Amino acid sequence: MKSNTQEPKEVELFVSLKIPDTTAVTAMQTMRKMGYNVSRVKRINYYKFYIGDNKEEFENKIKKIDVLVNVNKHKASTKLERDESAIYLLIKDIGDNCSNLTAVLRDRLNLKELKRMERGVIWALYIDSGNKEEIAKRIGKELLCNENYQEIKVF
Amino acid sequence: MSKIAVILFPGTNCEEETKRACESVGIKADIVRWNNTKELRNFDGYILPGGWSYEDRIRAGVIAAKDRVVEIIKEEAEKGKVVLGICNGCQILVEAGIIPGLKDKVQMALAPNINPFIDGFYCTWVRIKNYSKRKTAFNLKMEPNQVINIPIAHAEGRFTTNDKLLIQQLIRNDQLLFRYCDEAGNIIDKFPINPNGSLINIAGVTNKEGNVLAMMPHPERAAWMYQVPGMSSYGYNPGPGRKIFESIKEYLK
Repeated sequence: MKSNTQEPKEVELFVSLKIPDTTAVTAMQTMRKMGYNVSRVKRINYYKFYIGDNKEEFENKIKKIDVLVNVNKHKASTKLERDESAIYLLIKDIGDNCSNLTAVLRDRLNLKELKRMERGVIWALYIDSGNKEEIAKRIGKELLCNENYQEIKVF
Repeated sequence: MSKIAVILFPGTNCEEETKRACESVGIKADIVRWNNTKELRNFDGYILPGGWSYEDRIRAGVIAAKDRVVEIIKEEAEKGKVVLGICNGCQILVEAGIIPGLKDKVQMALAPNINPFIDGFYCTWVRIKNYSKRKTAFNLKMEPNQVINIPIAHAEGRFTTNDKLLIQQLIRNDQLLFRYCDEAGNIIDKFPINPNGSLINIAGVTNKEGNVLAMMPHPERAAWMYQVPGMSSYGYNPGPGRKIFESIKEYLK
């Protein structure tokens, strides 16, 4: 029997480019210029949705929403394909309640089950040597995140 | 004749009009590429114009802020040379920690606009007030509390900080040169007077010494009256933004 007072369910969406990501390349070149030994950088747009019900149906729908995913250049997944050799950093804008995007998804694109959402950017850093997590955090603070309005965490 | 370098990064797009605005007040201006730093120290000052350096990759201004050219400009600014960052140039100076320049770290950010109607890029005419009580390199030719009409065009123009004491320090040091205001000069923290949600309506911040300014509005786009809405009949007469360039010229004398 279904409960009437259900906790919101969570759905995550990871969207990355399937064409070359020039932003990630520029980021990697800048990190190298700053003296960091980084062999590869990947960038993933991250969304987290809090929904009322029908998680599976929502997952299927959200991957096809073209304001988030352009199938000609993006690939989208509800699970992060994690590479153990990379350190993942999530950068989010503090106080970003995604109100306009939530309104578009819920009211214009009819995702009625959406209650609220979060978004950010995940950077996967492939660091060649040293304490990889510590180096990644340093790169995060020096380049990827301006802590005057953003927050950073290892994902 | 004083000579200013207008720095061209990949993605800068306001270099020509910035050069023309300098020349309109009798300053010689050369457009200098970001990777041509050989003669850079020979200039009397530097302007980082608007645009999208490095396509705003990662965050507006942050990649350019790591360039060698910005390091050199920082060193020359410490000697007292004039440095003006307009829009993307403002974002670069803040991301490099040159503005506000009170600690050896990035103390501020130009965060995404807060606008009740539009997400992202917003372009309009606003008013700013010469809020500083002191004379800096950028308001020598302005009256105290003078209000000027000037355009903005940005997506990330909201001055902010996570340092709770910084704003008081900037006020104490008189570093808040320009603040968004209404026609009468009232500083009201409400859209559209504050067009991007900037902390206490900040539109432009100087360093402590007053020889470096980071401002989001575009004075070079208000350098002639024909550019100002409703003022086209005044043709090539000096526009309100010209005051900033006239002040730089006065400072360089």
